[in-house]
Amino acid sequence: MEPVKLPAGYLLPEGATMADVRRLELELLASEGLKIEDLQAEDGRKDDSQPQQ
Amino acid sequence: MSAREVVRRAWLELPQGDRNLLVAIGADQWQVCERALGTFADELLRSAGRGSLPAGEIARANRAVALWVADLRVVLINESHEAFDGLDGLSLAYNLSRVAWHEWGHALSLDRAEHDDIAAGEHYVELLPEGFAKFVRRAGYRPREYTHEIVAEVYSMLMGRRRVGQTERPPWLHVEVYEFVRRVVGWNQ
Repeated sequence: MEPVKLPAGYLLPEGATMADVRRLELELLASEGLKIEDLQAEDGRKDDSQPQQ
Repeated sequence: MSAREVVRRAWLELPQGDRNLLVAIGADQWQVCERALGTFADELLRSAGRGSLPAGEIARANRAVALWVADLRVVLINESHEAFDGLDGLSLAYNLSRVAWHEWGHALSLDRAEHDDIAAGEHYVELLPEGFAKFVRRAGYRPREYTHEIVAEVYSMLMGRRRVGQTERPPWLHVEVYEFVRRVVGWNQ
């Protein structure tokens, strides 16, 4: 039997939280004039489960 | 909205072609749970007769917000991870989606990145925006995991930007990294 493959995890630096990830993303988005609030908005979701016309 | 529903919607939000690709490589299963993921993954692997993870790997994976368990073809997400604490409803839903996209990006990368891509991990980190690079270096990834981590996180951020109709290369992302990620995940938006 092949040795077990090690899982690939989403790790954060010691003491970091998803709020820190959010701040980092916010800075990058702001540099191109985008707001993270727009990405979070419910009406921003696309449902690609239906074929495009 | 429950975390399970958020992740289900994040799956449906993937471009059809990306979903087809994930189905083709057997990466269309996930489980949202409230457990330390290293211990959980180890239990699942042992139940499936795949053997146990080394103790150090279990401890490391217990720190993870989410895991791609390649041997079981399943994404695991720990919705009770303390890293999610303090986020408001919309931020939490967005971050759960980001984590799910990240793990599907991991699945694509682990199956499709080539040896040379993996060997170039450190080079790709050097091309990232400073804060992003610092995050990757400090998170405790091994250098041979850098490539997969970059693919996963860039893919996740591309999915977020897609919500507002931005599907081209982000101006802050080096063209070499963008083209490499596009090739690996098949991003053709």
